[in-house]
Amino acid sequence: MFNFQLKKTAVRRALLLNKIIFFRRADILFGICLLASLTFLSLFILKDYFYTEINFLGWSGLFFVSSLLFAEMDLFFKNSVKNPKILISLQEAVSSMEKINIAELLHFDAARIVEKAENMGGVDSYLLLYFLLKEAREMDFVFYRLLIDKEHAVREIEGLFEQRGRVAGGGYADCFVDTMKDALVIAKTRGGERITNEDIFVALSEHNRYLQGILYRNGLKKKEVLELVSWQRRIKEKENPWSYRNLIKKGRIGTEWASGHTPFIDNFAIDWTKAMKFAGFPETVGHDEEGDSLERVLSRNEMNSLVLVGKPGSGRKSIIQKIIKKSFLGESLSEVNYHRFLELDLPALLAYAQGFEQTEKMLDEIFKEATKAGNIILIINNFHNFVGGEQRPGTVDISGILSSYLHISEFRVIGITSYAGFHQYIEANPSVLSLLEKIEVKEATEEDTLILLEKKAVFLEGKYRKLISFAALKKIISVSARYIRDVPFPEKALDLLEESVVYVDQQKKGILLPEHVEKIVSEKTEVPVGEIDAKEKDILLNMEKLIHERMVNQKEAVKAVSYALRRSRADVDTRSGLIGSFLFLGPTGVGKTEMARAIAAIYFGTEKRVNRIDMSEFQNISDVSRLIGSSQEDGLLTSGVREDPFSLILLDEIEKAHPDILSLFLQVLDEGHITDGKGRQVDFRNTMLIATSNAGYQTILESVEKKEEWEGLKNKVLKNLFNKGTFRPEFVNRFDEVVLFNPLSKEDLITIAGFQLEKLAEKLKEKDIEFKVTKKLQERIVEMSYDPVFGAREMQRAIQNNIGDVLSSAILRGELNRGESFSIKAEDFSILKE
Amino acid sequence: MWQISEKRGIFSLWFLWHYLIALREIYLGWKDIFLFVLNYFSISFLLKTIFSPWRRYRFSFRGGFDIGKVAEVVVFNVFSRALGMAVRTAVILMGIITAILVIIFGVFIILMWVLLPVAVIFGLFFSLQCLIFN
Repeated sequence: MFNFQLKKTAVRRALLLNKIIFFRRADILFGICLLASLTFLSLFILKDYFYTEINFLGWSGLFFVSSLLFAEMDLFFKNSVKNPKILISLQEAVSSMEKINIAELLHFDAARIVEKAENMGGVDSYLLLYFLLKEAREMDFVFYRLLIDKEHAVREIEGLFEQRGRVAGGGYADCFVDTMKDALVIAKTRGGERITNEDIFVALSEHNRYLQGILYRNGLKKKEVLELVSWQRRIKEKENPWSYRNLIKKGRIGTEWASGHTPFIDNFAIDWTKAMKFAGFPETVGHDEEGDSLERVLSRNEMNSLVLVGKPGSGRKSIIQKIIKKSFLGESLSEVNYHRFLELDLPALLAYAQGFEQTEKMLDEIFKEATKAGNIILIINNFHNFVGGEQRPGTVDISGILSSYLHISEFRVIGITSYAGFHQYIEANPSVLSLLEKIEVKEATEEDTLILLEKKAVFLEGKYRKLISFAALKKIISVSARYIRDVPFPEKALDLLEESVVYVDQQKKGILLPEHVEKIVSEKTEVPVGEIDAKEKDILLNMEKLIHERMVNQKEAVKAVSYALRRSRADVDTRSGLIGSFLFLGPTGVGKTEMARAIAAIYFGTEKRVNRIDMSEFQNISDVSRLIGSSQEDGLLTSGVREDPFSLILLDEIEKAHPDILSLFLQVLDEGHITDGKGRQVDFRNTMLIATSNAGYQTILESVEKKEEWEGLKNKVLKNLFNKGTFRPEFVNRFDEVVLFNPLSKEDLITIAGFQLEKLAEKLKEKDIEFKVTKKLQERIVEMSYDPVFGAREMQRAIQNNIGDVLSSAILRGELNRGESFSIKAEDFSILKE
Repeated sequence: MWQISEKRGIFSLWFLWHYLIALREIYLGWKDIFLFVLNYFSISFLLKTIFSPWRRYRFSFRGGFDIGKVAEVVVFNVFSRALGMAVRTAVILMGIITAILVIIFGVFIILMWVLLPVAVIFGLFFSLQCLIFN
């Protein structure tokens, strides 16, 4: 049973009193009375300058007392009458929904909206939404960020009232009941005390068809509305400036007097604590677990130095900032509270010191000072640059002197490093490693990143005078997650936001929209991002036809590849892997490589986007470093994809590669990424991978000769290959499709001969010489070169040897000149001028 | 149906709010400021470290017995501690004075709040009397 009786609630009294101006505008009346009191008091002081009978002091007193009265009324009305005490928590209310009057839980503003709707008769979700949009100021922010015209929506709902009619009998429609119940659950989930207008709006996004339509058109769901409303709430929430927590940000006198002076360190260090205090201790988001670990390590008596390992941009410094804030406010563990966090500026020290000996002496002085001071926690950024490895400008090996201090309990260091730096230098230095605790910093979550983006958006809006839409922020999260892989969250999203705002500023536009974000990502990654444009749609829909303009036969292969591309670009692919992955099996010269080139030219725009790797060069396991790189060299496969992430990878003669090298591709095919020899993650999700092999071609040829059915042939070929150990089943199974290329018939080859000769004719056309290709010539070429084992490859040789040679000699002898037209006699390959 | 919100007459609600809820809020605000003063002047910390050497400046005695060196170390350490104690005592005294002022101010505000309704009634009465009869 649904109980909802606004008239029987405590907040109802506030609704009634709100109609009286003395309560509703008590704050303004207070101001007016106070001003009047002060004016009369001034006149009383100045009364000697003019003659009047008016009792200024009496009026001043009356207005002053009235101002006190209105102040009291205002405070009483806002704090008590509008917020009647609720005797149960929302948790209990949700579990006992049938036994309570849900209207009792409404916030005053929400009750006001419901009252307005009730005054119109029966209430449904449309009436509720109508008054919510018309009266609730909270909705301004939501609609502003969604770039939706609120007034237009109000007018549309008014139009709907006429079509739909009203709820009969003055009761509550089902959609209203569901909205209120859902709003209660939403309020409970966010940890609120009452149901607010925002909660009702989020609930309406689920139960009102009109609102659902608006949100759908803007690509938003209930979850996103909830996030948007939370953003608004975070902006509204302001810390009371007189609260203890806010006051203690001013610091305290005398804490440092019990600690030593650090004049030497101060010359070569950046005081993070001071910088944080100056910035007003900005709020940090996420990384709670890492922060807790950091506090625990620092508060230990032994092994209290640590190294933070994570990708640059994953928020390693913000973890330290979080602890600095807690330490400054005395909210951390006692061993960490009221400490100074100083970043050692080693490059500055190296620039100052002359030679390694002096550097060591200065460092010894610094470390001694830090130990004696007793309240210093040293931060060393890019820690890996200072603990071994080869000496480069701006680096030095301080591991010797550092390890002699690290066992002292009053000497604490936080090193910041990357995974590559940690593995390459720190792990290779056991004397330092054994004295440091390692804390790994995970990439920030998308939820935390969105909060950070919202904070930065407000700042950037002020700086560039642009509006940043909520949809643009959501787009930044989704595209940076998908297309930018070598930088972690939140850095990549924050950078993308700033870059997009600058782009909008350059374009002299006022609002940052999702398409601007897509444009920037497309430029950065060279991957087409966003809505599929008309040209691309045309290509995708006519893929088979376009490929067949360059390819003869092989319909099955063409179809499989075309389907994969359409699935990928229409975003209906559920796999996390590549655009498509195919294993092409078939005899040589049947068009496997040509097909890959055709796809690159048609879909990727140019044949240059083929990253062709001859796998016969990778027959030993030691060749793996040439493929995925090592600390000394770049990998053929990985560097190619890093430079051109939107490309086609063609692995020719895959069967010749070492089986362990083939295993590397399992992860690529499964998850769409691989870690290269330098520890960087390489993203393959915007690539298509085609592996070609002529393994098993004998089986195909035999079957064709015996005229066996094509359907069962693939299984037969694969079974043979598994039995021979050419490929492992787990490798082959990871491809989207294994495509068999059938041997070319004489007719196919005649057509291909036509393609080849036309190519030659195109070249001659550039010299203004017209070469007319005849059918007889095509047939003659095929007759000379037909061999099912070698396919079209032999034909290329025949054209080169018979026609190419004749033409080149004729051109050199001056027998073929500009403006002339000729054909070639099929019988003896002689030139026939026309 | 469960009673889930407190329902009172308007006067009783006002009385409860003015003399209990709002008074408690004022008290909590006053307490925050008082605690801030104690924190700002680090009174408890300074008391704990009152005899600690100033900025940890401390000499230690090394080597063989040399009455001159011993005297020098002792004098320096005593001076360092005395300096620390003097500065800390001054700050503690400043803190205590500020805390007392905050207490007095808090009591004054609370009294004002308690008397506010009476003051408003009397104020209205006297100012109207003043206007009507003068």
